[in-house]
Amino acid sequence: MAATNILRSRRTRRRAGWTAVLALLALILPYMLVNSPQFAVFGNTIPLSIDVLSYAVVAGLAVLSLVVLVGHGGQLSLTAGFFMGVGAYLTMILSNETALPFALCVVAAALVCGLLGIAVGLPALRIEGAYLALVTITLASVLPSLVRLPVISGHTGGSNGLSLKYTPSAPDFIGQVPTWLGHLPGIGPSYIGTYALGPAQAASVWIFYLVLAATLAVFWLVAGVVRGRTGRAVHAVRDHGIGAAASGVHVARLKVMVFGLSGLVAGVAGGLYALVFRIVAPETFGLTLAIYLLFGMILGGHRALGGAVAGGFAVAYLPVITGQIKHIPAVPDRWLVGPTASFLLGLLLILFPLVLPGGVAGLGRRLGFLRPLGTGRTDAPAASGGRATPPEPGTAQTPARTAEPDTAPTTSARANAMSPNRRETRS
Amino acid sequence: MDLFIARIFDGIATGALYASVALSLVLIYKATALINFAQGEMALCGAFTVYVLAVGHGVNLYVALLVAMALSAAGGAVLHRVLIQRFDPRDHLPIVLVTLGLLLALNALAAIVFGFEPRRIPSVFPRGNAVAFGSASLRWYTLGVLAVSVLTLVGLTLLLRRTRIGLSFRAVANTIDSAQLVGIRVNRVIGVSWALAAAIGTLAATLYVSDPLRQLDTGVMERVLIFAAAAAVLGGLDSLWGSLAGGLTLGLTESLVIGYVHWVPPELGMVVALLVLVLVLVWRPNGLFGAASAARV
Amino acid sequence: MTAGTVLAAENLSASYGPLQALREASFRLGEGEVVALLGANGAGKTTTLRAITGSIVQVTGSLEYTSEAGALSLIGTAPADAARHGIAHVPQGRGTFTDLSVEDNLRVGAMTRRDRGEIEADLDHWFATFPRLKERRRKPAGNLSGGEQQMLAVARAMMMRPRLLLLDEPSLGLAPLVVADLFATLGRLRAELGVTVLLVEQNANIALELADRGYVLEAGRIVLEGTAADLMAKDEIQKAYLGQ
Repeated sequence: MAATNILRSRRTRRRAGWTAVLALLALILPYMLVNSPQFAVFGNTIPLSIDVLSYAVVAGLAVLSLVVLVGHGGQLSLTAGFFMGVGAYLTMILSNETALPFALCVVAAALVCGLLGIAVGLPALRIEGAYLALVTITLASVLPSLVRLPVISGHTGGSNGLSLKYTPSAPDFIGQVPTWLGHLPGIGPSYIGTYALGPAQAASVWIFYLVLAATLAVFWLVAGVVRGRTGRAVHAVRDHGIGAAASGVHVARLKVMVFGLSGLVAGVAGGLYALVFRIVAPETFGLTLAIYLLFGMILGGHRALGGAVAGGFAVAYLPVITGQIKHIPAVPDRWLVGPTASFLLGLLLILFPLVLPGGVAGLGRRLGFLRPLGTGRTDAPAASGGRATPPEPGTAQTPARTAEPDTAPTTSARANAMSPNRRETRS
Repeated sequence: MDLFIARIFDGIATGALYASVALSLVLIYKATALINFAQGEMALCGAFTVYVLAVGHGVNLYVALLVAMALSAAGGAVLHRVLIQRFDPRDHLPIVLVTLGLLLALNALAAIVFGFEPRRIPSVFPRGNAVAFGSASLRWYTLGVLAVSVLTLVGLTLLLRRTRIGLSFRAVANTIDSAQLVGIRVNRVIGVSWALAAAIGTLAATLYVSDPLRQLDTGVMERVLIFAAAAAVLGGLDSLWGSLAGGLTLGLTESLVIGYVHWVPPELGMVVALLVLVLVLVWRPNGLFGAASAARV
Repeated sequence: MTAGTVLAAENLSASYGPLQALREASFRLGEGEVVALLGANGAGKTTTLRAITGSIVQVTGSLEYTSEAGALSLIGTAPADAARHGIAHVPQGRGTFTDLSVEDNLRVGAMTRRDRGEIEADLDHWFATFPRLKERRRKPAGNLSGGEQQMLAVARAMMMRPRLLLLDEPSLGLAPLVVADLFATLGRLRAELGVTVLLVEQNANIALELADRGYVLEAGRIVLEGTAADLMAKDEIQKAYLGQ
């Protein structure tokens, strides 16, 4: 219809517009940040560095792994931090100790993480919900200790951490870009300067682009899987468990596959992390990171692939901001040291499910920027890990579209839009 | 031989405390299939309350403990009412988020208010040894902690089996829908279980740090929570007595591994907990004594 | 509301989200009556019961109930409240507390009562009425057979000393002999108890043998009503439901 065509083209134009803006940002930002500008707010100075920008991209990838597993797979598994850590360490160890080119190290590490993901996915078939969350968060909490085990600390560096010997060298043109970019009106002279970059700075910028390219590639791949037939099957398993099995869908295989994919993506994120920061310590990939990543997922909207980007930025910048804020008017300085970052994160974690269940993506949908989620189905049987009454023997398993669903929600508590298993009609 | 016995006693002492914290986790899981990730930090706040009352204000230690437990119970009930009850109990994600957020916020709050230096709580049990076995000795502490854990369990079991509220709880734990239909106010029952869990947690944490060999600081409960979780899983997440079995097993395993396997340094006991978890999950997801429907569909 | 009416529904509609399961149904139950609510699977029978006990959020229309204390509207009640007003609901599939003992199942039924002595007396009474339950009083209720669980569910509901008893498809999943036995028992009880019963059933034949009056639901609407005898004679019922 004419109306839909107009709508579609308006949306496409809007999308094209955003993509252009983002591409432009991707070109300019690294060159702005490579000089580590600072900006001041309320008497605090917050330094912005290109490393953190790269980290934001990488973290987006890690958050994506959670979106895939929790949002799309419906499994409350918090393994992203763990696999990111394994990916990072493995990449570094392979790169430091073998002659493999760095890219291959990342790929190899990611593959191992994918396999590990499958290994975790197998026992996870038997447990779900908060129980699964508990177990996977334990994994995350224990990585720092695992890395210190004397058996492997020779390779992992134990408590001293590990550093990457490889440093990529940027092609010449990267360093030359400021010579013309620096002439941009306004930001050019103040932030970019017209001097060519030195090798270290050029390397940082180059790393940013490498990381960005790899991330985009993985995002594209994942989007392809999620939006295709496999994705639909996975969604069917998430929403209709029993019904899906009845339709011939291999429930177990799909669930494990989602774990594997999630592990793979997080592994890539870990490898890229190693490239960006070149140093890891046992504590880097512990409980705190796992929780930050979870928050990133919620911030973006736990089903939104694009939301992972916002999540990644939160993961990267929240600690920076909270770490650097030393003065807030009317708040005693003493309170702002140390644990504040955790306290704020904790508060945010509590507030988000209450206030903004759909995350930023949900807000985006409401405001019309993003297209609504695909048609789901009607009232779901028990959500992930639910404790709904199990159907008694002899009760007919009525398909989901009957007028009398046997397991319709009986609690009068407000049904929350956050369940991985609920259709988000209201976000 | 004496080393072995000493290790056993150590294992029992820590194990009984893991079991007590595990009890709190199991109480809530039994009723709702949910995990309160903040359990450890709530208990930590309780222990700090005891510190403030007993050491800061000179209140009798036992009175302080009772007051702290009462305050924790109230806190637990309020937390449930304000933060948990509003969500659909079958939807785990928001509640996992909220309890994780609480974990962080409470821990940070404790650090902000109390700082990072360790404190000491006076010993709840008489200091020194009750019995000696050669050069190994059984401390009053070990006996006391074990006794408290067992007594708590017995108390809970009696509560569940002999009282109306206990019957309500068991009904809710079995089938929420049917429980509502017979007139049980499910939210109230769950609130009570949160209150109980909080009080038990505070008791366990206080006992844990009042060991003359330990101190109270903000990092204490993170480790304990992992062990308690492993203990609960091992025993069966919906079995109260299973927590005791799981806790003791874990405590003993940790103690013996540290004592005898020399390539595992003490702080890596957490790896032991993880291994136990993994083994349980692979072999028997319902734990030793859990009901077959621990992974409810 | 006319005197002696326990429950009166007027233009009652109920939906699950976008799905409307009940459309402007009107019916009434008089004191001591057994009323059957018939219809095929998906017609809205269970929905009706859920609307009465407040297990569905979206209910519109009028639903007046006369409790011991007086008349009140059931729109917007919560399930636990319905029980406190004397409405006992045996859900589809019986809703047995499988991990609790048989005896505990019965005790749970009396949760809204405070009169200890009487509760014990009722317990003895029901064990006398159902000796098979007494034999297994300490065993987990989940071990009972389907028919036994159904008896248990009815007894559990009666432990409430309810004013209104809602039975959702008691015959479901039970062998014909067991069903016959069950309904014979219900028939006997009915004489003793004088409680008002709303019986939802797919098995119209056996339901109408027990009931005084009946309503037939189709796609959420009441399409037929009358005395049990009248309904049994109607062609539609003969064709559609007999032999079920």
